[in-house]
Amino acid sequence: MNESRLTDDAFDDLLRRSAPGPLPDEGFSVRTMAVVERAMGAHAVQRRAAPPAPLAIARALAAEQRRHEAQARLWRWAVAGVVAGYLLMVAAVLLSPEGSLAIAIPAPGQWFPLCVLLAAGAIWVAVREWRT
Amino acid sequence: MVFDESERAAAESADWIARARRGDRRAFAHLVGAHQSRVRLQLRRLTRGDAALADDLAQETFVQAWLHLADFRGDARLATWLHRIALTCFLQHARRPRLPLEWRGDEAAEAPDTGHDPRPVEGQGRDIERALQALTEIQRLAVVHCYHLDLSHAEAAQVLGLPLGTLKSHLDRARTRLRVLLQAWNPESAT
Repeated sequence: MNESRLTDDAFDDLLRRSAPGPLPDEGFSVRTMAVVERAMGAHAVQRRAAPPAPLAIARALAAEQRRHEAQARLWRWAVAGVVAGYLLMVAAVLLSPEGSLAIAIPAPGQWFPLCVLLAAGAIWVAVREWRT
Repeated sequence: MVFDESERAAAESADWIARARRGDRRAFAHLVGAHQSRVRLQLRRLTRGDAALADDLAQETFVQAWLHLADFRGDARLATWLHRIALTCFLQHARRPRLPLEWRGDEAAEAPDTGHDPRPVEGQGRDIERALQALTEIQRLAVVHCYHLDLSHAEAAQVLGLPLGTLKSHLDRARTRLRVLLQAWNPESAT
């Protein structure tokens, strides 16, 4: 609600009537939009992405280095796991009473729990990689 | 009926503003056309009738409005927001941080403000114009914003950067002085 309209006073009406009439546009809007276009161009140039600061570059490099070290550590543990498994198998063969190794391939249905375990491990590694 | 009309106009205005905020230049051109008169009139008052300077500042006002349209939250009317930007542009041009709360009345009389209306003023209009010259600048601006630009007291206070009570005080003093100066034209005094 316009407060200045509330007073029903002839004097207020007198003042209000003395308001100048609206100014004709006379090309003002067109000229103004041309200025706006120019200003937009200048603004776009000003807002072009700034080159990264040295500190940001250093942080990005440090993060990349950490990711690389984590992958190398994971690879080393995987290799160590395979070697340890092989050594364990050799030790089991040498310590067995018969001194020989008998390999019994199970039925296909018995492979299922191992497949599930391997698939879960692969997914876990993939998700970890994707997140980093 | 009138209320429906004003509601419809407000919704239409909000639609144009929303389109302009999305980067629609035609919508912004429409807003410029709709508000150019009141912004230019305000600036002609502030620049004491320098129409060329007022138009330059009005263009700067609309450029700033376009660049900062995302900051317009819609708490106030667009007109109020534009008037505030226009005043800021004028103050930056004049290198003044804010409007002086009190200016000497005779300072305005030394530099007559004739730019509010290019049409010749006769009789009553001329007398009112002369009476306005007799006011201090801040009083005249209060009158112009409240009566000529059709802003509410709260909106005028927001535009001029004054507390509402201060604005009302200036307006009251201005009206008292104008009543004396325009006694002959006041219908109340004629009876």
